[in-house]
Amino acid sequence: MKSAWILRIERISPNDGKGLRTVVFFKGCPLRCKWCAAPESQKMKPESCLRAGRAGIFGKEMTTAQVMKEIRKDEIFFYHSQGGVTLSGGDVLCQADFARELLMECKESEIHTMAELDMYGDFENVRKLLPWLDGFYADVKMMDSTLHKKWTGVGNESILENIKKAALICPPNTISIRVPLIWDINDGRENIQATARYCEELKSCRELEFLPYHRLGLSAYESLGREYELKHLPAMSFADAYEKVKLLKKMDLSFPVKISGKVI
Amino acid sequence: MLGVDIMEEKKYMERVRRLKERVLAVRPEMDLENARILTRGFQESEGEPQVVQKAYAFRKQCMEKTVKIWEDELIVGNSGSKQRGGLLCPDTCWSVLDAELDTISTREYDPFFLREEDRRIFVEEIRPYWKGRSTYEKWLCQIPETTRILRDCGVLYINRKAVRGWGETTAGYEMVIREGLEGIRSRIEKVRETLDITKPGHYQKMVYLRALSLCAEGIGILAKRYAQKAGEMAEEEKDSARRKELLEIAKVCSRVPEKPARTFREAIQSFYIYHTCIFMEQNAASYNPGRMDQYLYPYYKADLEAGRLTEDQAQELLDCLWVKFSEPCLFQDEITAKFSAGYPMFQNICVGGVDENGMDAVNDLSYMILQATMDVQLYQPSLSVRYNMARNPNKFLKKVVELMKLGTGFPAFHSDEVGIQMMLNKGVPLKEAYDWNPCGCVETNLSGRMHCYTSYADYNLGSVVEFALNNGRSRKYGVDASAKTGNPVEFETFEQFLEAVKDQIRYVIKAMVAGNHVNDDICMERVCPALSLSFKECIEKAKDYAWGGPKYNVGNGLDAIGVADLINSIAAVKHLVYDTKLLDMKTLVEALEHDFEGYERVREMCLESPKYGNDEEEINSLTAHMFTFIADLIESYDSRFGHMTAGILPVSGNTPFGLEVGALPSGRKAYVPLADGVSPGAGTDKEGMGAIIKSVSCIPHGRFGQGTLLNLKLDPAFNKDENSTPLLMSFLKSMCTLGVFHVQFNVIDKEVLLDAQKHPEDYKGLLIRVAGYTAYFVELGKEVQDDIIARTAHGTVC
Repeated sequence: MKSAWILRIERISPNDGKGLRTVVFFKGCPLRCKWCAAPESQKMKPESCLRAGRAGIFGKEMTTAQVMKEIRKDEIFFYHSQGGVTLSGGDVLCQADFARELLMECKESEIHTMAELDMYGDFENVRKLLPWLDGFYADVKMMDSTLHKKWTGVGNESILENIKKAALICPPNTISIRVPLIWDINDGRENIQATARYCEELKSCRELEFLPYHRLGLSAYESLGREYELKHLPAMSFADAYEKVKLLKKMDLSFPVKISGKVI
Repeated sequence: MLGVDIMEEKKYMERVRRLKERVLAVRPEMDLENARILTRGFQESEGEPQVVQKAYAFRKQCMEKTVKIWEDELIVGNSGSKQRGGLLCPDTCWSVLDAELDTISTREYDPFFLREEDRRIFVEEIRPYWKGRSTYEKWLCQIPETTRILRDCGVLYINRKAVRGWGETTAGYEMVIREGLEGIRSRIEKVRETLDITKPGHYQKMVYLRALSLCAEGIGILAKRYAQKAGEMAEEEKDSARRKELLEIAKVCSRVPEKPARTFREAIQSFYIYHTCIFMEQNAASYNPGRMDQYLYPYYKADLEAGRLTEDQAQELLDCLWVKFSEPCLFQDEITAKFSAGYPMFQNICVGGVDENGMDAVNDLSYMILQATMDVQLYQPSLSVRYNMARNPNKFLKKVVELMKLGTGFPAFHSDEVGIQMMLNKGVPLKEAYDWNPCGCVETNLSGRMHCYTSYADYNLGSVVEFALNNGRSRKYGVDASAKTGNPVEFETFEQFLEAVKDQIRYVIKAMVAGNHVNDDICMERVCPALSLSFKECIEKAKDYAWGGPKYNVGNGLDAIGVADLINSIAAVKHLVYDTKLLDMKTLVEALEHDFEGYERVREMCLESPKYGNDEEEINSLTAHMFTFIADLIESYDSRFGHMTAGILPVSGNTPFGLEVGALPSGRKAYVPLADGVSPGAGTDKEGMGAIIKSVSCIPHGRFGQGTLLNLKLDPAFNKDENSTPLLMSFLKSMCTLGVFHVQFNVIDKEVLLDAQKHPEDYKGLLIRVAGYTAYFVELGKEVQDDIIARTAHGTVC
C-alpha cells in the first residue's frame, strides 16, 4: 500500500466540482505562485506553524486506506448530490502513483472523481491519472512563459503542452480550464483573449473559469511566519472580474465562460 | 440567472404589515378576566361534579368574556380580553402568580405587565377561592422525596406540567370544521341514547356528556357574540370597504363553528374560534394546528373551482391567520420561562408528508403555508415540514430550502420516515402513523387521537457524569442527591466507570418515573371537556382526555439534556484515564473539584480528547451504545397510559441546567450552559455540517419518539447564492437517509459575521470555511475576516 504527504481533507465542499465533494489536498508543489492562497501546501514535508497562539503542524503522511476511510464517510452525501472526490493541492502530480491508487480505489466504489491539476512536468504523471478521472481542472495562470516564470517560478511550456496532449485523449467536456485572476498580473485584455483562444483549440474543453483574486491565504502566511508579497492587493469582486472578462462574450466561444462558478 | 426575481409586492401585504405592526407594538400583559369568570363559574356551580363545574365555567367564559375585533382583521378571535394577554389557570396553578405578584411585570424572562385592576382581581377573588385546590399545590405536596431532591439539585426539571394546563396535543380540528358543533352534538346525543343510569358507571358517563354539551354550547355562543360584535361595528363604520369586511365577518361567525364550514374562509374561522377556546380552557403551550395543508385543502380547492376565491385572497386569509397566531402569550412561572423563553406558544403547523395511502400529500396549500411564513415572519406559528424523500417532489423541497435560507429559523425540517417510525414505536398502526404531525418543539403527535405529555420532564446528563465522579453528590449544593456508585478512584477499568454512569442514569430515570406516576394521578382531575370535544373516542367512551379517553394513550416523554456533555465526558475519561493513561483518576477528580483552577494542563488534555460531532468511529459507537441504553431503560417503564417514551429536546433548558453542574471531563467549566439538543458542544466540532450529521445519526432517532432536536449553523458557503440550493437539498436528503429526525438552520449571514468581529468573545466556536479549509472566524486576521464578509451574502440571495 502506498502512502503520501497529505495537507488536509475537506468534507462536503460545495466548490470543487459537481455536488458535495471530499477534497483531498496533497502537500508539495513545484510552483511558487506569488498569489498562492495555500502556502502551507507548497513544501512536501510537514511544517510547523503557530495559529492563534497554538503550535500546530501542516500535513501528515497517510496511506491509501487511511484516506479512503475518510472519503467513505461521506458516500451518502456523494450519492444524493452526485458529488464525489476531488484531488487538489499543492500538486497532485508530484505524488502521482499514490493518486492513481487512490482514484482506482474510488472507482472500485463507484465514486465520482475529479482533480485540480497544475499540469506541470512530465506528461507520464498525467497519463497515470487520466483513466481514473471523470474530469479535471487545469490551471492556466498566464499564456506568456517569461511572465509565468516571473510570477510562479517556472515556465509554462510543459503545462500548455500537457493540457493539449490530455485533450487529445480525454472525452469531450472533461477539462475545465481555471485562471486565477490577479490584479495587473494576468488580468490584461491580451492574456484573457489568448487564454480563450488556447481553450478553443482543446477538443475536450468543458469551460473556462476565472477565479477573482482573494487574500484568504493571508492567515496561513502569518501562521508560517512567511511574508506575503501581494499583501497590498485588495480582493477582486465579481463585478471587477466581470469588467475584465466580458470581452470574451463577443468571441462566440464554443464553451461557457464562468466567474466563480457563475456563467457570464 | 443572477440574483433574485424582483417581484412586485402583493397588494394584500399592506394589510398584513399593518396587522403585524400592531401585534408587535403590544406589550404582553397578565389578563385575569378569564380566571375571574372561571372562579365565579365554579362558585355558581358548587355541588356539581368537578367536570361539570369546569364545563359550566367554560361556557360562562364564552358568554361573558370581552369580545374584541381589531382594525383590519379578517379572521377574528382571542382567548382573552387583551390582544397579547397571559392567561392564568387558577384551578391548575393560581399560586404561580401569587409568588410573582411583585416581579412579574419586570422579570428577566418573559415579563407580563400586571395592571392594578388585574392584581386586585387576583387578590380579592382568585386567591381566596383556589387556595389549597390547585393541581400545582397537590403536586408540591405529593412529589416523591427522591424526585424532589433531584429537582432541587437541578437534575430534573419536572414541575412543568403542574404549573400549566395540558397542551402538547393536536385537537381534532378537522372534525370541528367538517361537522360543526351540530355534528358533534349529534355524536354526543347518540352516545347518550345508549346510557342507562341504573347501570354501573353510566351515571359518570352521563355527567361527562353533560359537560361536553355545555362546552359545545359555549363555543357556539362565543362565535355568535363575535358575529354580533362585527355587526355592531359595521353599523358604525364610516369606511365602506371596511364595513363590507365587518359584515362578512358577521356572516361567517354566525355560520361557524356551529355548522359545517362550506368555504375556505369559514374553515379558517371555524378552526380559529375553536383553537382560542381550547387555550381559554387551559393555558398551555403546544396546542398544535397540525396538518393544515391537509384538512383545509378541500375547502380551498372547492372555492377555487367554483370561482369564489382567488389564490391571492386565499393567501391573504392565511397571512391574517398567521398574524393571529402571534397574539397569545404563554404565561408560565419564572423558572419555566428560563427553560423556554420567548412566550413560547409552540403552535406547530405542519406541511408535506404522505396521505393515508402513503402517497405524496403536498398540495398547493402546502406552498401557500410556506409562503405565509415568508410573508409574515413573526415568531409564531412554528412551521414544520414533514419531508418524505420517497414521495414529496423536489419542487417542494426547493421551496423549503429557500425559506430556510431566509434565516428566520423556520421551517423545522423533519424526516417523514423517522417521524413515522416514532409513531409506530408509540404503538400507532402504520396506516395512522402516516398521519403524524410535529408537536410543540419536535415531538410527534396524532390529531384528535392521542393523549400524552410529549415533554413531561427533563433530566440533566451533565449531572449524571458529575454524580458518577462524585459518588452521587451534587457539587453545587453539597447534597447526596443520587446513587452511591463508589469512589471513582477505585474504578479499575473503564467498564466500571461506565457502569457507574449507567447506574446514575438508572437512578435519575427511576426518580422521574416516580414523579410521573404521581403526576399522572393528580392530572386525572385536570379535565378538559372543551379539548375533548374534538376527540372522537372521548365522546364515544364518554371519557375525558385527562382520563385517557383518546384512541391512543402513550406514556409521557422524558427528555435528555446534555447529549454532547455526556458523550464527551465519557470519551475523555476513557481516553485519558484508561486508554492512554495520560492522567490518573485522582488528578482528574481533583481538577474537576477545583473547576480546573490550577489544573490548566488537565483541562487542555480534556479539551483535546476526542469529541462528539466529528464523525469519529469510536465516539459514534459510544453514542449509539449510550442512547440505545437510555431508550431501553425508559421504555422498560410502564405507566397507566402505556410505556414511557424518550426524547431529546432542550428548548432552552440546556442553559439553566448547565448552571447546576460543576466542571466536567469534557473540559467544560463549571456552571456554564450544556450543549444544546443533539448538537455538538460549542467549539468542539471541527469537521463541518456533514460530520455533525453523521455523528448525530448514531443516536437511534426512531426510538426517541418525542423527538430529537438539532440546531445547525448554516455554513455561509451554502447560503451565498442560488447554486447552493440543490446542494442543501441533497444535504437534507442525505440527512433523511441517515435517519436523523430533525434539523433547524441558523443562517450565518453578513450581520452575524460583523457582530462576531465586534464581539469575538461571543463567537468563539464559530467555524467558517476559508479557501479550502475550516477555521474559527474570530481567530482570523481582520483583512481575511473582511474578505469573508464581503463574500458572504447580505441576507441570503445575492
